[in-house]
Amino acid sequence: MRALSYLFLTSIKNYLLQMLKKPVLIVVYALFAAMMVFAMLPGGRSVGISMDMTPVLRAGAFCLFAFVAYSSISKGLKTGSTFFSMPDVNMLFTSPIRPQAVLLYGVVRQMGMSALATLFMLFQIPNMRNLLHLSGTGIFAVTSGWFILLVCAQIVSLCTYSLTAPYPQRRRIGNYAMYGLIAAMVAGLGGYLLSRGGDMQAVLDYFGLPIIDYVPLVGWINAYVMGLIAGDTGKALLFLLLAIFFPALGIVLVQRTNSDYYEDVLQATEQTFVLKQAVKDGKIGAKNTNRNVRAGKSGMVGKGQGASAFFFRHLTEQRRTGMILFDKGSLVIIVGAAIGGIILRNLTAKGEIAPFFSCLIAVCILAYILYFLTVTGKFTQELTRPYIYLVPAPEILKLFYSNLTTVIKSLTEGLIAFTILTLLAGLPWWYIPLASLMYASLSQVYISISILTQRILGGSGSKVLSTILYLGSAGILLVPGVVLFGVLQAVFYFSGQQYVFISYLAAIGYNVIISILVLFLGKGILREVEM
Amino acid sequence: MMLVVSHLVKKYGSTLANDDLSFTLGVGEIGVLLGPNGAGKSTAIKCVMGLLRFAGTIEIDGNSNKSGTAKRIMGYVPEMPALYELLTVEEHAEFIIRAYRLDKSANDYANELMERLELSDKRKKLGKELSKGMQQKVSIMCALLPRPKMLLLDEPLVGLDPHAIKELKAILMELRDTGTAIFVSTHMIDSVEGLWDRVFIMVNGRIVAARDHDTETLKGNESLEDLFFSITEGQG
Repeated sequence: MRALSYLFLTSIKNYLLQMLKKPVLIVVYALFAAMMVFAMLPGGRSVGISMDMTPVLRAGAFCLFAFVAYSSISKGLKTGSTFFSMPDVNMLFTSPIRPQAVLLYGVVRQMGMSALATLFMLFQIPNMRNLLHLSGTGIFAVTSGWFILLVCAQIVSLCTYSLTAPYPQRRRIGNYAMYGLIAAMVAGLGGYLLSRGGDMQAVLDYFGLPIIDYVPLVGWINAYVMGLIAGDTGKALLFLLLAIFFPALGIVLVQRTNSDYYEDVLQATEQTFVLKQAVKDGKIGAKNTNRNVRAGKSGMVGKGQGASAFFFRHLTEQRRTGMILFDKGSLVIIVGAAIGGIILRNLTAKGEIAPFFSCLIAVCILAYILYFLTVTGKFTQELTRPYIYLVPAPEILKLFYSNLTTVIKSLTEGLIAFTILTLLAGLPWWYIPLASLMYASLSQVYISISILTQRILGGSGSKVLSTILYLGSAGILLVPGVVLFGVLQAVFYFSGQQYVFISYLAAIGYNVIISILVLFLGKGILREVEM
Repeated sequence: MMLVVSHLVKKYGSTLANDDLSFTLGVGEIGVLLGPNGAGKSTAIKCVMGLLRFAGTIEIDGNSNKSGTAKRIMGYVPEMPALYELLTVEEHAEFIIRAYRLDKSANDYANELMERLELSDKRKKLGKELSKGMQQKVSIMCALLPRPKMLLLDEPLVGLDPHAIKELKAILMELRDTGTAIFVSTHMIDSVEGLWDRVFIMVNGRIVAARDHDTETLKGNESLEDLFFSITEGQG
């Protein structure tokens, strides 16, 4: 253990020492800390929605937790997870240190990483206070629940892989169990809605059923959170113990039945290492392409030539990955839109909110979610390869075509999400195309900002630093558009609401101009090559 | 025998990466595993190092390769050098000394290795501040520090500068003379000419030829390169 504690403590010490050598980093972290403190301070008055938000929180938290747990465990059943790094493989796994001690070291380090990931949750404190009406205890409950979920999901994922990977039969059983549970939940919801009538209240009530608390891991952690919020400490503690016991049992099982787990984490560790190296080498948008992808049908899609060949190549690749228009983020957006649509319909029906504000709130919330879900897409991956620089075609066309799949994806995603939302909430028809275009254009702004961030930091930026810079520059570049949109909204609210669509058009125009401008400012992105 | 591999089989799903490999390596011998890309060399090395599960048996000095006793006497230079980003060069040495519970003389040996590998002026540098070649040198230092009786190197010369290549070859010869068994996997034939005692040529997961430098010399003027191409170009 001496070696492991030395490794752990020396790494922390060196991290702190390194920070002292970089005053800029200290300033950035101080700003970050200040922003967090600011976020934690009690805010002003909450927005005037008086309904009890506990059922919404319970259902929303359950779905979010379920999404994270599903992603982790399905990864565990397929490719495996790891909380080890490549140096661990090369130096710890090959050393005479007991595998059990190495596993414990991995778990402790993972808890540290999860704690860091939870820091970003603290930025949601104003929203938790204002929108969900949470007190200090409630905020603690949600934040700690999120932390526990991240740690537990990662451990369960690793244990799942370790216990099932060598045995196809076990993996099949694992898959049946996971999808069986999901199917049972969905069927249960369907049945409940049929018996209760399909309104939003019924959906929320379903997630409040006592049996939901007993859904493994997700239900337990949710019950812990809701128990704390309701002041039922006994219930919270009971479910917390259950939630901790489950992954702990997994670790004991791995230790007892499979101390030879090194192979199980090797592949995932190598993949993560390659990915990190790619990012470090400035390969922005590097992705894990080691999924099981079959070549299938051979030959390029379409007939593109010159710059458009990039677009058709992307389509060919997407035909193989099966991700032509959607990914997991799209699902979150669409489900979010559906839930938002139902909530807005209820609020409108009760006369608590006017359609004008429903439109505004919906587009703002989806834009906000998009902010965290935007992936850099095919264009940034293209920049890591030489062809985009070498193909003799006009730069503007190359920029256009290499970004086209991302535009199509976000536009389709927006159209589906806003059609569902508009129909559910009973909003005006013009809202569908304009909100979708606004959504797609914002996605372009986010992408261009992330490219700009990577260009500024190169390969040297730490993840935290680049995230902060991304958030900061996004804030700065978005402000003029938000102000323009806000002013026009106010003008049309008072002067004639039938022309409010002009404010959406103006915001779309701003987004398009600013994203093109940022791309060209990052310039000559295709001329001054620095691969 | 220091290394005894018997009927090693390693499958990834339905892909057979190592197909019934059997070979031995004696004390003070340098064995070279030659093969084209994708032949299964790295998989074999990882199996020997205990990083992968496999069928068959692998013994190091009479112990199972996954036992603590075996690990204590093994050293490994991986194909991809990967250092702890937040540990300096000398802290990597300190970490290995602790992990292998080495005595104080290991500090002197660490200094000697740093000197020979031209790492002395980099000893306060963090892992992440080093170039790939430098990382490879630290990786070599870490593998040599426990004075292993069985040293495995996976493509060790890739990324090294000429001085480091010369120095590493010299170190390997010295280790061989002091009884260390050395097993090198590579696809660069030139780099191991004149260095090997036993060579195993691997193609498609199988050892298709094995030669002993002393007793079973190559036919006539046949070089290692001639042998390699005569075998590999006839195989898929």
